[in-house]
Amino acid sequence: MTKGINTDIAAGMIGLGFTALFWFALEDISRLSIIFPKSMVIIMALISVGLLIKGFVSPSRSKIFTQGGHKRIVVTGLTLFLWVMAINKIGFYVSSVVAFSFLTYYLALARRKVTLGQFLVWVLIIAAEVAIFYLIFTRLIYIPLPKGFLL
Amino acid sequence: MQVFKMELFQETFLQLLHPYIILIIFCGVSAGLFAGAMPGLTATMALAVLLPFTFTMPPLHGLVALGAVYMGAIYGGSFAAILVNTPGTPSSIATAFEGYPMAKQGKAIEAIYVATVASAIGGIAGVLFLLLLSPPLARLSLRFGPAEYFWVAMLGLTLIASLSEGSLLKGLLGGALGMILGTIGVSPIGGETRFTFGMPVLQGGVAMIVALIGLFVLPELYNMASQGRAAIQEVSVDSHKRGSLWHITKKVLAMPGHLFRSCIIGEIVAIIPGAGGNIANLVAYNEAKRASKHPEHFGHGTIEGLIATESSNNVTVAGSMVPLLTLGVPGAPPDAVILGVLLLHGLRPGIELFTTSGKLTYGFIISMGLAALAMIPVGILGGRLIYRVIFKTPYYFLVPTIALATILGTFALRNSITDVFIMLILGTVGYLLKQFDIAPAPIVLGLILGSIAEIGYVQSLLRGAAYPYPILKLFENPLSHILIAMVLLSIAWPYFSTIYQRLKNRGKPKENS
Repeated sequence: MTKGINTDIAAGMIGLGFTALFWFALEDISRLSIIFPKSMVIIMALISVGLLIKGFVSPSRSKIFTQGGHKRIVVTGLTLFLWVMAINKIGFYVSSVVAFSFLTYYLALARRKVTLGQFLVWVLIIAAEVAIFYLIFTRLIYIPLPKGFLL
Repeated sequence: MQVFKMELFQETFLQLLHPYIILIIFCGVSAGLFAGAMPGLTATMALAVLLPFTFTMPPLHGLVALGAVYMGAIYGGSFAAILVNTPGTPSSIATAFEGYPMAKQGKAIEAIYVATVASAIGGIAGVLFLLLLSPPLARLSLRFGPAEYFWVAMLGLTLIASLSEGSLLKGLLGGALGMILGTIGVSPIGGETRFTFGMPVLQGGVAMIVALIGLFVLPELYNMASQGRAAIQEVSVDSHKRGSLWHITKKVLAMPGHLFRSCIIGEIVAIIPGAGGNIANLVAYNEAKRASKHPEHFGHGTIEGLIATESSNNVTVAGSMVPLLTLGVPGAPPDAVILGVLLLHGLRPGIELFTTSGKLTYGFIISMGLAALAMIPVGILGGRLIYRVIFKTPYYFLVPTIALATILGTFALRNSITDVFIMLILGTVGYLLKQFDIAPAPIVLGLILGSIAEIGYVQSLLRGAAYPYPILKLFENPLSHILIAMVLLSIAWPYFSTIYQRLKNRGKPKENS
């Protein structure tokens, strides 16, 4: 049986990583703007060290990424990033219909078999749903959405 | 300052019972509820969007409509918080802590009913406070300076202990991280850009709502994608027993002390300009946990927490009108829109608003009370509808739909794709941090309170520049002393409570002996 990882040490290391990231970015800031962030960076460093000490003295252990399909998380995350990248280039409507359809198809596959006919019906429903959102935002509450080179 | 007149109140009240005004109230509450339930669409945004529609209305009708939208939007935030763990507005952050676990236990409708009843009570309490306590509360709000704001932020930060889910150090790390994230972009004092890492797009900083959506929505979205429907259980609710409105109302009313405390907290926070429902709900939640006989149940779906957060945030709707109507200082961002409407109709905040334009002002105030009552039928119908939509939709449609609404809501804030990327990055990092027991709630809390703390801290140091130790400026005023005492009490309370329980148990014989 695995004991799981020491989350105190892991959290302490993450905290030190963020501390280093923000500490080196402090250099170019003048006194007035640096007072508060510098205090926070130092406090974060102290908390991280505290976590590391706790990790050695009385560690908390837990298993990570234990639930569900990891591949689906990665694919969902990547799809979301690609979707947002495509919004400015292709346009909100088309990119959303494509990304939405792909995600629906991919997530449905984990539970059931999807025929081409079903998928095409889904695409039509998705196109209508995205169109409703698109019209509400652009026509009703006047928030322009990126059009890209398609729509 | 004697401004409250019974005859005027009665006359105004009867005027509001006109069917057209009642219709405006119901439409306003419904529109607000929809906006509030959509993550990313804030109450301010809903008011700003609907503002042009009120231009052609008589002043009273316009103000009634905006008051109803405001009330509905703050309440509507609870729907998304309960059903998909996404606070629809920042005023519902703590609602997600209890509402979502209840939904996962199959008590989504019960949670919605509790939120509805508590919101209605909170809304009415806010109106009563506004009617009766405006002048003295307005005078109190004037005494808040930078040092007091700093201590208010510190008081809010003591909440981290409650949100840390077992590890205080990890909660503090999350809080510190949130505060540093809040310093990205232009410095509020000095005007210099910080922590942009050479990327000009970061000059705008990390908007609080962007972080809120990312840190609360994305981890749940990833969970739903990986686990499917198992991420949100669906258990049928017997609407005639556990989920009935009357039963829930009795349950909520059976906690008068709880309601009273939360409403008072909401009112006090509301009168402080700049600190609205987003802070009130967290502070009220924390105090509810501290006062509870079973604090260990918090975070696992207790209605006490839900009552605290929903009653306190709806108190702030009318409560934040105290500084607005008496001093012309918006208590919260949506109030700025209402101030604009008042000025548009030639109404200047101050004593004249309660005397010369008394009929209009009282009409507006009382209509908010009616809007709070209208939330009950609108919320019950809307809640059941949204519940059915969310729980009957196959998860492979639900995940992309929530993603679409999230992307749209984040984009709509500032018409910025960068904000959407920040939301995705924060959400993904938040999901990873959650694996190491660093909860997203303290990060969001740090982000919300960080800027208030920074402005208060640095301004106090500047004001105390003539002192040998400028930091002493933070400890100068009596109001600061009261707040410091509250901070210390808040930190020490769990220890006092434990010692008290031990002493109490010492005298009792052991059960099995």
